[in-house]
Amino acid sequence: MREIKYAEAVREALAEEMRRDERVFVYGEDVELGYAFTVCKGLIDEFGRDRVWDTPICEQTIVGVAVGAAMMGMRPVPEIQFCDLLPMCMDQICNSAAKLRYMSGGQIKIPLVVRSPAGKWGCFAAQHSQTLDAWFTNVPGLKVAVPATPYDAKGLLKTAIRDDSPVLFIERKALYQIPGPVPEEEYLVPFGEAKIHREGKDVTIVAIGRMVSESLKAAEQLAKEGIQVTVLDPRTLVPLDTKAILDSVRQAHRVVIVEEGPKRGGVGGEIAAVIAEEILDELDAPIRRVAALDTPIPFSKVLEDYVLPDEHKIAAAVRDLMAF
Amino acid sequence: MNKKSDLSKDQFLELYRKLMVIRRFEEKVDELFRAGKVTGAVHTSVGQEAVAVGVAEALEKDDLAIATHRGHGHCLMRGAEMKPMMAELFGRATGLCQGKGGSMHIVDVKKGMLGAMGIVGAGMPIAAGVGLAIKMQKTGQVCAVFFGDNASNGGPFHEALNVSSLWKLPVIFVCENNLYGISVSVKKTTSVQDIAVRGQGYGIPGVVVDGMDVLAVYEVAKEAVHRARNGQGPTLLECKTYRFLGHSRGDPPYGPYRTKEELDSWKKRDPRLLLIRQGKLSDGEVEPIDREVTEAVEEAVRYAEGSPLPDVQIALQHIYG
Amino acid sequence: MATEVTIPNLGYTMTVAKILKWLKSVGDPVEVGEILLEIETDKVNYGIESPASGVVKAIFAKPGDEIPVGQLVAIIGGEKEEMDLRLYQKIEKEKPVPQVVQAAASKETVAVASPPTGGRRFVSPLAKRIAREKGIDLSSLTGSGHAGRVKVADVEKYLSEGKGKRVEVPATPKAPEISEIILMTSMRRTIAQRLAQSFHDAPHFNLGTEVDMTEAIRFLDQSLQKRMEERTGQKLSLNDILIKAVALTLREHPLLNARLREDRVEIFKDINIGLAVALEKGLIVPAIEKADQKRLWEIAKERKDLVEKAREGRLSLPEIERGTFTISNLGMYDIVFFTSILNPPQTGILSIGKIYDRPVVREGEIVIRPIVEMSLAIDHRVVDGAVGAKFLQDLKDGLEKPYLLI
Repeated sequence: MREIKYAEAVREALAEEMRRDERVFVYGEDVELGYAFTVCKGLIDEFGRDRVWDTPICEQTIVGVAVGAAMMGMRPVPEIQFCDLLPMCMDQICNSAAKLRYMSGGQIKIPLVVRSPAGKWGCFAAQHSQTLDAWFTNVPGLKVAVPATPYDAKGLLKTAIRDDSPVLFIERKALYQIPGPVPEEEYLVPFGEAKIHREGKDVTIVAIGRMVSESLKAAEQLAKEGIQVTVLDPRTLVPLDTKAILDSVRQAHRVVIVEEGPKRGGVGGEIAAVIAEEILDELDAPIRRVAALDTPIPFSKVLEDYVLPDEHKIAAAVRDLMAF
Repeated sequence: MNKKSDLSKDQFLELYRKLMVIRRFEEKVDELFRAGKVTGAVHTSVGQEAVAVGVAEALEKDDLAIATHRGHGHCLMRGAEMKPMMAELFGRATGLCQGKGGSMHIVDVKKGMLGAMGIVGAGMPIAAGVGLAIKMQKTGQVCAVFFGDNASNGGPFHEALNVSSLWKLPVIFVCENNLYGISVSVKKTTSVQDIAVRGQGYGIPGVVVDGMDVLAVYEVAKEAVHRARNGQGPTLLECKTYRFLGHSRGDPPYGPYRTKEELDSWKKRDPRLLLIRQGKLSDGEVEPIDREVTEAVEEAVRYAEGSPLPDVQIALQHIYG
Repeated sequence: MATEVTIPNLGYTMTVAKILKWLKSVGDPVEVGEILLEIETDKVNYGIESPASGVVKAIFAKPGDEIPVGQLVAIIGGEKEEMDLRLYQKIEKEKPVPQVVQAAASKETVAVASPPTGGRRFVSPLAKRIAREKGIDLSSLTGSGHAGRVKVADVEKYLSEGKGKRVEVPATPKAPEISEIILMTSMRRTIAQRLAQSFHDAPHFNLGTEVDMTEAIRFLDQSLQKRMEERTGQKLSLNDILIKAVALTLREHPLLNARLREDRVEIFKDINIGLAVALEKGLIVPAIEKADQKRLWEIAKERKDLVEKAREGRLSLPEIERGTFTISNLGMYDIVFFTSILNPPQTGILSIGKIYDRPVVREGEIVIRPIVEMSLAIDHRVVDGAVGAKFLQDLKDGLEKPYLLI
């Protein structure tokens, strides 16, 4: 199978959906040149400025415009350049997009997708390296996708664009240039379906986003020590494939949840609570979370590495569980 | 419709009727609210009716409107029926939004009322989006978005005006300047006396109009709609008006931050009285309309009171698309 | 037509309004919209406008009154209109009784003292489940996990070693076989731990006596009982008489209504007699408060309530914890005599056996009397035998000659 980069996979999804449905359009800051992370590069050549264009810096209105256009039946896919800027549009995302359908008793539909990259890039410091997945999982009415591979990025984005609900499509900037197998033929990845990247009987690792590849590296190391781990990627946080997670933990009886956002109030807490609530008697050890430390992300590389989770910290957590 | 001098008696009576629909509906809602029969947060527009009526007259049936938390009048003027509106305020299953939105989020999509928005300023970027879709879909519609004086001080106003002007969107920005943002005078919040001036900052015309005069509002709204429909982009209308009741329940019409003298001076320019004078309407002509509208409102209340409460299962619907 | 004037709901936090002043009196004419009265809410002062034109027919509140939202304060009607104001008389709303928050009576835990912290086992939820399913006693498992934690691996090891492994078993006397394992409930564990502690900490000194219950039984005379029931709805039982007698006697012997705290003897302010109630799941001792101050029928009522609550598992912690002295009565069985273990932190406990008709000697003659044997256990750290003896003496006298108790 051919391999393409994550950024290319996203671009392909956008292009294919725009060809398929003339209501789909893309806009945001620097999208015409595809400047920030190359994702939208070249789209304007095929679709023109009527469907791909640059906006002023006005995140709140970028999303507000998407809400209004979606209400009228269009399918906007705005890009917010860094997920750190999503707080600027919280009102339109959380109060308008997530709630207008509900409050109108179903009269309104908001089929929009807000794309935004999260996670570390490398010394981009506290305001351009965050992972804010957890902020949106707590807002009923929003769906949240967190693809970890080019295959999932393309398949999930196509599903997101075709979905009639508002979707937060949170990509990972450090993964943009990483290639992965992506079929040429049309395919979709459904929401609410996890993927198991590796199977092992001792510990289940539920990994999100860039932490999937880190967990797979940890798995290799642990295998040499005789510990076999499963690496499970939920792919979407809302809806969450609870069944797959519980089924896996029922087999392994030990679980580590890994995310790039800070530990306190993170997605790991929600998943851990679900596991503890549903299958406490299947656990042979406490539930462990590996996440960023509860600090803003520092600039200097040595500090950034210290704060963020990686394969070594994941492996350490697994070993700790085995011995507990 | 023609200039005020060319209006027929019937046309005046029709405008009068529309104004009374809002007037009586709002007065009734205020009464019910204070009696505890309507719950939650309710904001009435008694005194500001001329803006809703005037702009609505300039819109076509399939144009769109977005309003604020003080949106009952705009919803009625788009053609929403009183019974399901009242039922929504009563939180009943027969309400426009099946009891899930309430007063601040009153929506009637079929009639082109895309919603009252509960967050100050949120409607403007959304209206820009609606205008964008209209342009892309080439339907020739326009979108009128209503907002208050203090909303023009927030980020969304500026961003929305900017992109609407930039992309020449068919949007009419209607500012209902009633001189107060809840309890704070516009003098304390707004850096300019006439909000219309801000249009200039975004390269669009800004027009000040007497918001108590239905016909004056209609004249300027007509021009703005015309510009929008002809691809000339947005206009900012500033209607100087006044609310005769408090901001919401619990807020008296005068006292804590407004004087009785100020209220009385605006009441002398009650849009209802202005219209009667302009149309030379006699008591014999308006009284039947008053009675008819009052009865229609009472009927709507009876309908609402007699409607069932929503089944709790509906709380779990419409969360996602 | 009469129009009601009520207090409007003016704010999200508003529940009542205070009447400040009336601008109109009964009989005054009023126009619709005219201010009738001024009220004060938690936020603003507000003038209530008349909802109709007419005459003020009645006013139901005065300045200073606090009136709840929605309540009627006045009526407006026609000048010549006659009204039956009785129809508008306020019905005194029942003042809401402040809810006494009952601590949820845990069905199992009676724990007053905290459980010992030493020697606690940690077992993983899964290991616990597997052990339970396989009928393995957790105490027979060795934990290899963190801080001696028992994990699934330990359960598996235990199971595999049990099967067909030839181990040299030293010649030890064979313990009798177990047919059934009953896991201790937390209530049972708590009772076990408390009684063991009481037995260990307090040197129990036991005294016994015989009491002639002829006079005491008179309280249960049929006609007296009938009258008691008619007047109070209660029927007396022997326990009630015993409780009252013990309580009154304790008044004269406060050292037996006390507890030991380190080196201080603390005398309880009230005399709350606990009655031991045997439930299927264990012993529970609810206490009748201030028993010395209560009439017999009041004691009977409270006793009945407490026993019912105990049987239904509805006792509150205060009802159990407030006891200062305990009575244990096994007279419903053929138990002639027994001794009890003190109910910590109390200093005395009275054990009552079955009342039997026995031949006794009175004034040189053999007569048949209803006799009961009682024993008193006391905490010898707090009181000496003589103190206990004096108490028991007085109690016996009080029961045999009740008029001594008055």
